[in-house]
Amino acid sequence: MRIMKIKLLLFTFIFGLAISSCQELELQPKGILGEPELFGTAFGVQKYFVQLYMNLPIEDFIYYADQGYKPGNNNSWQAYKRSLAGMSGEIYGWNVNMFEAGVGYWPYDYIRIVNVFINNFPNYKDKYDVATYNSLMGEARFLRAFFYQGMAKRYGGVPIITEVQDPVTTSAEELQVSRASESDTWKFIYDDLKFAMENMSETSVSGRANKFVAAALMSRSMLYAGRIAKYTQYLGFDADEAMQGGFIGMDPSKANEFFQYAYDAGLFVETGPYALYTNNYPDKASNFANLFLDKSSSENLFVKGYDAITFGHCYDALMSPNPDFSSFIGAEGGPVLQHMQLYDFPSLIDEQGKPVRFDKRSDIKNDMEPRLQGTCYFDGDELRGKKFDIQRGIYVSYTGTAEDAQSGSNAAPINSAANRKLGNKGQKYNNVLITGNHGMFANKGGENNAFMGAFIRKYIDVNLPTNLVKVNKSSTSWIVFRLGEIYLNTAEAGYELGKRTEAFNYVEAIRERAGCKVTLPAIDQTVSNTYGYPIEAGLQFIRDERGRELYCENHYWWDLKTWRIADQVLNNRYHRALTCYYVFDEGKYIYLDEVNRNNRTVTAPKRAAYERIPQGEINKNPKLLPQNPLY
Amino acid sequence: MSAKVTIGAIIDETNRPNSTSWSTMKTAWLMRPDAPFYANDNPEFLNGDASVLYVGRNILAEIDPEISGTNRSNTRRLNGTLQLNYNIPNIKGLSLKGSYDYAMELPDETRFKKSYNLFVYNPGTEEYTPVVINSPSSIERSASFNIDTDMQLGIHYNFNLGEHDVKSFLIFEEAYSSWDNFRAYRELLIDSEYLFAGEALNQEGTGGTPGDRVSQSLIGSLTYAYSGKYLVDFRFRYDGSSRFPQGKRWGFFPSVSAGWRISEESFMKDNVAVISNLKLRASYGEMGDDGSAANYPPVLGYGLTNSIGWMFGDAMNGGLRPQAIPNPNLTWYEIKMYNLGLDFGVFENKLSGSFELFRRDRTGLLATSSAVVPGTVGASLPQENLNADRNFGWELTLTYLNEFKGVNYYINPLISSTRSMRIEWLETPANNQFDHWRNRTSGRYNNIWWGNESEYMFTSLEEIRNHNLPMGQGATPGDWILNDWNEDGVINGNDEHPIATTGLPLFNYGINMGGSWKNFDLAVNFQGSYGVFVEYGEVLISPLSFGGNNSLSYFMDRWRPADPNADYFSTATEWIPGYYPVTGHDGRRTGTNLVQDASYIRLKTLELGYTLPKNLYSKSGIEDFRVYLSGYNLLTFTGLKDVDPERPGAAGGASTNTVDVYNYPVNKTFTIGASIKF
Repeated sequence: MRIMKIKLLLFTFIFGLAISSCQELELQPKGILGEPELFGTAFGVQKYFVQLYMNLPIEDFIYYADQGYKPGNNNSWQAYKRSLAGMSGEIYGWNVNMFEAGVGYWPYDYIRIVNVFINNFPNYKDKYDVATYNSLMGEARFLRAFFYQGMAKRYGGVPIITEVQDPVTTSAEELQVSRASESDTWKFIYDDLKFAMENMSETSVSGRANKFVAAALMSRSMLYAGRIAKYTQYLGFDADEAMQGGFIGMDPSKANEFFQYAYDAGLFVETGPYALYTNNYPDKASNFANLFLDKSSSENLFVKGYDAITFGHCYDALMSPNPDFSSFIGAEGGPVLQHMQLYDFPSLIDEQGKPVRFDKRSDIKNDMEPRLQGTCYFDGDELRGKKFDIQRGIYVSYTGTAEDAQSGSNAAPINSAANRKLGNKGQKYNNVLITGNHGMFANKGGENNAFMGAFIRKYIDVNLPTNLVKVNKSSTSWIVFRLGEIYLNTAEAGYELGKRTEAFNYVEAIRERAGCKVTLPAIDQTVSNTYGYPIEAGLQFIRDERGRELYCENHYWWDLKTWRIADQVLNNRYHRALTCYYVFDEGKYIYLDEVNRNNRTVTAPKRAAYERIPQGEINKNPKLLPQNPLY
Repeated sequence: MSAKVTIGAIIDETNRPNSTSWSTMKTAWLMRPDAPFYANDNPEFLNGDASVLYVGRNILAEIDPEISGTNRSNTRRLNGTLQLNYNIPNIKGLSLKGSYDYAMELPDETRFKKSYNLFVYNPGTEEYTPVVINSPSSIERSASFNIDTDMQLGIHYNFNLGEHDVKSFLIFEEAYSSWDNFRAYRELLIDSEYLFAGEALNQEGTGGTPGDRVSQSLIGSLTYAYSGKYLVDFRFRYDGSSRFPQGKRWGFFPSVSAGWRISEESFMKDNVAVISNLKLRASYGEMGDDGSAANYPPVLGYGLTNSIGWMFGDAMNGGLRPQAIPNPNLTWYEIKMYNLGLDFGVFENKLSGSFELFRRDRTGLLATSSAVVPGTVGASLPQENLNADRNFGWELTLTYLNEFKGVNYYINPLISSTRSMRIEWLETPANNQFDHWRNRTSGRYNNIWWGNESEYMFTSLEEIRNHNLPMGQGATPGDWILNDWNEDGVINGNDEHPIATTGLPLFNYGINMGGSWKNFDLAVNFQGSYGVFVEYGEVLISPLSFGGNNSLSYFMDRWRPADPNADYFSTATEWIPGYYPVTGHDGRRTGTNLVQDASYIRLKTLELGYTLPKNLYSKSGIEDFRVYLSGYNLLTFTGLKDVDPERPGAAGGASTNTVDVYNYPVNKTFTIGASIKF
């Protein structure tokens, strides 16, 4: 019995031990930070801001025209197959489709994160000195303005939310906020940026905003707002419900107010420690190319960095052909001739209309603007130890004018199979190679083929060897704001305000850096109606200068939209290619202006001026109606 | 009283080359037959010529760990269990049982990536130019710590009295898990595979999110059987989980089942002797599941995550993600299971079988109400227990055993079928009836495959030109015309309608057969599925993909002009028809052309065995000696052309909806073996 009792005791003892070591069902969550840790120190606030910076609406290397922003998603390598530059007609690429309806960008979750900060940060005011506190508040308002600007440039008027709504306790009625008018939306952006400009610090580490960055955003946003105010009237949407309600478009009298804000912001930026990049003078072509690669450039105000380890991008892998320059898919697009000819470009035809003869293919660069040479790679340019070798074909003889080639059509008699030899890589005609090593091949599509006669040079990392040019291995930073853009913003805003001479001073500075032949053209005030409304030639010149300077920096699409000429410029427009042929019986080269081989065009409909408000959001909140025109 | 201690361990090590089998298989698929493995056929120089090799990859280098590096995983799982058993004296059938199990899992991984050279031969200069691959070499080490404990304490009481037979128990169980991990990465510039030899520049040291959870349950059961004819079982569970907020942690889930052996009733035994077994059974049970809740009850706060980052200066800074707004009412979701079965046997159980019906309803599935809260609020509503779904189906099994002149044989066919549907599902309201039919899932079957329907192939240019709907600019004979299903004059996404089912098959069936004669035995198993559809992608549907790499020869069966240089768009051109459209045209990649019926029946296993006569070896201490010949996946009958039906594709069937086509293929195996018992 005693042994039994001992056993029973032993059992109960172990039982009790086990029960007492029972876990509580209430566990402290591991790995979660609360508000006091984050808002209580400047470093905590910086950590809090990282999620906002990362999701800012910056159309950079990884932006898809048809899918939107893809921050941090290392599986998205196809951005240059579906790029904004392809949609705006700057590049002929894989996908030349038009996605004017947009992707339903609706970043209110990030706006909420900023609003939580702006509303709760005053509780921690006593932990900071006045300057730091104001600077952090200013930074939050800069971030909020950036998100609203991303929506305003797409939709016009959007709901303005500044409070943090609690969906659990608030009624459905209150949660449904209606659209503000377009002018109120831009004014809201102005107010936030004004606060930021006045309160943020003057200096910051690269990649972080300061008061000049806020001014740069002000300069760009207010310029967009001014254009929208002035030119929406020409769209013909006056009867549309959204326009009548003020949700899109503004009274043209407001234009000058916004242009003045942009102009003042531009002057403000000039007081900062920034200067146009001139480190590689006198070689202005390399200087212009290097501007985008030099991380210490004095022209950069705000950059988005990639380290190629956590996040990298595929720009190098998808912009230059494989295998000589890329170890991934290879070039997905090439520059379009219409844009190349905006720069100082040599004439391709002589006085009699015949194609000019060149001794070497690369002689075409002799009269070419250095800035264009810094933007695109032509035949004979060197990259990663190899030279670009681009030619389309061989003409046995070419006795006619450039017109006789009928833009490259197979039907032209001079292009008959007997006279014009096209081919694939390595094929020869009478022992002379028909095409260059990198294109234009007859048997391939636009991928990895010099389809447009040239490749893009801007942003190509010359220091990356070919074997390292792979998916997500590029680490070039995307320059969000640079002084060059600000100068052009100020020039355009100034010209619109009547300050023509001051405007052209900025243009002169840009053109001088570009190496143009004529840096300060005469200010031509004749009015023409090319794109649907009257505009002075001088203003058109400034707009073209933007097209030259900011080519392939994902500005052109927004410029076309806000100038309200997207449907006029992209109206069944054929992408034209710069094609080089060897004239066999002369031993010389000619360049022709041909339509792209697939006869593809790009067309923007009238409604491209605004994107469609996402239908899913309208289903949840009918107060977002009316929808933007023609959707 | 008795005590028992069990200790177990699983220790294993896996080594593979430093590349995924997915990418190696893809390179193997795309390898051109004219691409040499060695530059200039010189075995000292592996070829790296990217103009013939897909993205410059040499598969010989990728599969050799000596060249490209190794991935090594070590798993160690150790557990110890203490069990105590105490039979209460004086009360027969009453006992106490307790057990405590402690398990530790400490896996670690090494990923060693080696940089190596491939070579391109230049015939002009007779030189081999090196191409550097995989630079820089790097080493990554990671370790995880997982602790699981499980404790059970219970009282068991069994007794029988005459015809009555009772079994019951009451158990308290508690399970606790915790996990944590970290990893480090360094680049290697010297020839070593260790972290300490790596460079501090670009080094990474980070850890995953740690966590823990607890669940407690009280489980009770009472089973009563009367004279082997009537059986009743009551059970309950009272479960609590740390994943739910306070006040909502516990859930009560009862279940009951009953069975009636009709064949034991006197009116059956006396009158219908041919029925040797007939049993009717039914059950209803409830269960709770916390599986899809987040690990901790939602709390206002921010979680650190590596997938968010921004560069300030030269450093990539990690960021945060806000947690969802907490829901104070988050709780278990409930599963209700209904089951009805009939077992029968006739002719002394020569023919027997069973038929079963089941239905499983789940309610309280977690869904976020963001579906109906405007996006301008900017926050996800908390997860709430809102959705409900249902799985249901039936199963039939038959077995026939008999003997004929010394040969014992059996046939055992079986078939089962399941479907699932959503009973209540939170979704944004539809805009109109069409949107409701096309896009809403509440109240409908799952696994509907929507697509366009393909009608026929064009056989001539005149047919294309005279067709009543516009075709694209480059249409040629051999192109498919899709059905304008909604007859609106346009062929687009609005013509999509249900054409197949996705996911697992509608019917699964099998036939087991076999027999034995003297010392021979044979077992044959056929297995099949019906009502399963697949869609393939990449190399299986487009020839010469990724810029002219290797291609499957069945693509040669395509529409082409008799004269390869003829103009495709001239009516004078003579065409040779084929299964595929003109190369480069999409016709086999849309609608009902792309989605194929993968129903099949397979001879899955066949085993023929022979037991050696005992007198040959009885003296040597061997009790039993059997040799066998078996095969696996021997024959397959399917309507699918050229592909094994169980090979996952891009969608449908067993695919995971990623590019599964490069996974390791299905095997056919033959085995010879012997089984010896001492």
